[in-house]
Amino acid sequence: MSPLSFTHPWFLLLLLLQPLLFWRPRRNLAPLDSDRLVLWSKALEQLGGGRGKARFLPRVLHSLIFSVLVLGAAGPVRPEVPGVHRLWQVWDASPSMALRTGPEETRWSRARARAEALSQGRPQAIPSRAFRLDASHLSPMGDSHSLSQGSGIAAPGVPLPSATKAEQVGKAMGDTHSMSQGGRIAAPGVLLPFAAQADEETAVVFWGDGAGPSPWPEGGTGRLFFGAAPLGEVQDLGFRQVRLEDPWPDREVLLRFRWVGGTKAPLRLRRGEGAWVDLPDPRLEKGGAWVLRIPREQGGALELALKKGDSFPLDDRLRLWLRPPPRLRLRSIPKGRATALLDFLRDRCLPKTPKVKDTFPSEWEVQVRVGGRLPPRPRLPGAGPDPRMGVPLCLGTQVGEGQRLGEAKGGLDWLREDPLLKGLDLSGYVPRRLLKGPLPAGYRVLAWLGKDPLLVVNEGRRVLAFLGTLPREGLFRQPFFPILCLRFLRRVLDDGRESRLAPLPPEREYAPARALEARPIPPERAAGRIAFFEPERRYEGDLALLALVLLGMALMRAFYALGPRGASSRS
Amino acid sequence: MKGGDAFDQLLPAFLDLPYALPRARELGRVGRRVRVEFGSFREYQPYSPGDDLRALDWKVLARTGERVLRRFDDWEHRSLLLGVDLSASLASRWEGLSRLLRLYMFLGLYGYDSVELLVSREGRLLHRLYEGLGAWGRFRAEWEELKPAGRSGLAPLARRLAQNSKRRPGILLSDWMPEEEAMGAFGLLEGSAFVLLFPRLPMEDPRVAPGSLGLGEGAQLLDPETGARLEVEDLARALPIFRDLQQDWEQARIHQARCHGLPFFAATLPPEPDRDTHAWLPFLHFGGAKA
Repeated sequence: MSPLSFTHPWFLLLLLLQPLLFWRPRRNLAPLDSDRLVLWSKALEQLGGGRGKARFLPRVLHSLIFSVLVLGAAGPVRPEVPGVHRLWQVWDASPSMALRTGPEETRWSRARARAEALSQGRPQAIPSRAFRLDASHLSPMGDSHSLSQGSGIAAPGVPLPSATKAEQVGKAMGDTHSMSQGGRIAAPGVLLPFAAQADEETAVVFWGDGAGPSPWPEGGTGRLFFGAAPLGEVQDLGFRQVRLEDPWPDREVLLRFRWVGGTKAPLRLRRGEGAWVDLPDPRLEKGGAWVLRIPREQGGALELALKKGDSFPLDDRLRLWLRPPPRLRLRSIPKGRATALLDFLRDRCLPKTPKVKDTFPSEWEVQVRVGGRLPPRPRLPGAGPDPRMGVPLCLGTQVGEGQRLGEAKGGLDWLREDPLLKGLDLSGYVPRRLLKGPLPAGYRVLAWLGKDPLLVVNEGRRVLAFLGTLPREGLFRQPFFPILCLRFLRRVLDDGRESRLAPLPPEREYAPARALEARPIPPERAAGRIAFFEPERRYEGDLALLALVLLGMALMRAFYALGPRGASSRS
Repeated sequence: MKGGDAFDQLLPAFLDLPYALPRARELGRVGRRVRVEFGSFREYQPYSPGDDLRALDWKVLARTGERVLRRFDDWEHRSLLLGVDLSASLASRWEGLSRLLRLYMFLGLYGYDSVELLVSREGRLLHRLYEGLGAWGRFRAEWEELKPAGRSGLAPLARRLAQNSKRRPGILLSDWMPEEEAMGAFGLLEGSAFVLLFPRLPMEDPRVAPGSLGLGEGAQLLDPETGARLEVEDLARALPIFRDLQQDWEQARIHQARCHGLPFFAATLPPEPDRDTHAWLPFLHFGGAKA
């Protein structure tokens, strides 16, 4: 709390006159010699203004009245109350907001009534802005492993005119009656643009029908308040949150679903355009959550929906894209060379080294080839190489036919700042053979030995190759080589640019390998209270000050006219 | 009465009043006392008008028709003792007290053979003896130099008076404060021929209208003897209470003095511009005093 301030602090100098006023009556007393002080003291005690505490009461009251007058003239300013300086109201303009929740009430009107009450309750100095979210302003956005269809926005909706009064806010809301079609905004990341632009003094109120926005990011400067209107008994799953429990799963994926609605209708799940599979427990409590455990290999385009939807099916289903993990295969492994790279590959990806054919890695597959040649990439009819194919990781092999190694000329030079080579030391490595001939298209040289390429990579969209003219003998004994392989492998696995929605053929149905597990999670507490910033208020004003002065004068006059006159003594 | 202020000029007028000083025989409108002679015959003196006719030798007048006075070798010397407590606390009463002492001195010089003045001031006792009306000028000169000062003048004054003046008439003036000291003085003077007199200020007299005192709304009281201060902000309301307490105090002193066989008088000092001699009559009637 800031300290008390005054508009005219120089008036406080009048408080220095307090001692003079306190002693003023003493100066007006006429001096008089007397040898009867004992009798006078008794007389004053009988009068009531003797030597007791009451003797000081008149002067104390006088001082208090004077102090009040001085403080009033100085204009005390009430300390500022910290709170929200700006108010942003985000409107869910999805079609579900037009759903009726009563005879004369829709979700939109109900939210509007609450918004108007909020606007009327805020101070006039607090600016307010309104934003409308609808499907036409949504753009795909998601992380590398899951993506909600039609979710996310790139810009904070359509900014409505700034409204500072309740009537203007109501009018602005009235302009947003046109509901968009074919979209829902209940998706992760829907509020991220607001969180990015809001500062500490901004409150963002989301008015929706439970279309859960993404969790407000931790460390976000703004504050989010949920203003969702009650949903009633309609069947609305109202997904608010879908996220992965573990961003780096090994075998299976834990998908956490949250919703604000509740229904007794069963849920069903399907992969791609495959057949629907009913989830085991159909009852969903309001405000609850479920965790769905899905084998990673069964990822892809998943759709979760109510078995019996209402007239607004967009609110009752959720489509997400679960990307299966890259499947690793080792093409060839040198015998008797247990290195860190092999340990990592075996422990992390490949319990057993499968035997693979000399084919290009298929979808969700990474092939690690030590030696050998790069297999030809499959081609789509009339479209060139298939971009959905897997990733070959070739180590120490010739790239193509007719390529020969040349003699080393000059010293070793490598891209020290490249993420793959950063921190590595290649100076102690002397290759016996170097790559000769032209490099294939799309390959990049990371290290040069003289004029010859030493390490080359291909970071194409679907083909990531690590090619090097490395000698086969003693390859894994080089200290930098396992590190280089691990970095390259991690880049392949973490590459999020490969995520995209891809339709699957109907025959590739979703087939859970085992029973889906689900367990409830306590509902998330999302409600909050907005404490608006209240600007300083000054107790100034001529009439108020004049009244204060007159009141003080009247009190002083009345006190001296009616009250007992005390006396004081000092010896 | 030559010289002096207006009160000095007023003093002869008091001789026309029926006053009665302690142990002084009242002589009608002329207060001059009669010389009392005794012992062996000394001589004849020619009579002059104004002499005491009781000393006239009637036989010589009858035999020769000559008026002569018979004189003896000894006579009675009657003296008035004035004890004054001139401590600093009496400064508030100094104006009226000064005039009262001048009055007593004038009447004493006129009606007694001598007047002894014993003043307690600043812890010391000053003793002066004045004989005859001719000593008036010396008294006035010495009196002008006396002002109230010092503390606790009553106790030493009472001790001195108790030692030397057992049977001599006298008047003791004091403010009789503090009360413990006054009670001690009463005990010391028990059985003496002293009249204890308290000169009351007009402010302390309930019969004096407060409006005539010229007091303000409040007063800052100061005891010059002790230095104690007391502020009275509402004098109009506090004064009646004080007067009642003062009256009670006087009654208590009178009762206490009577227990010691002493007369205690309290009389109000007239205001200064008062030229009425009758206003001083309360100080001139000691008929009830012990003779």
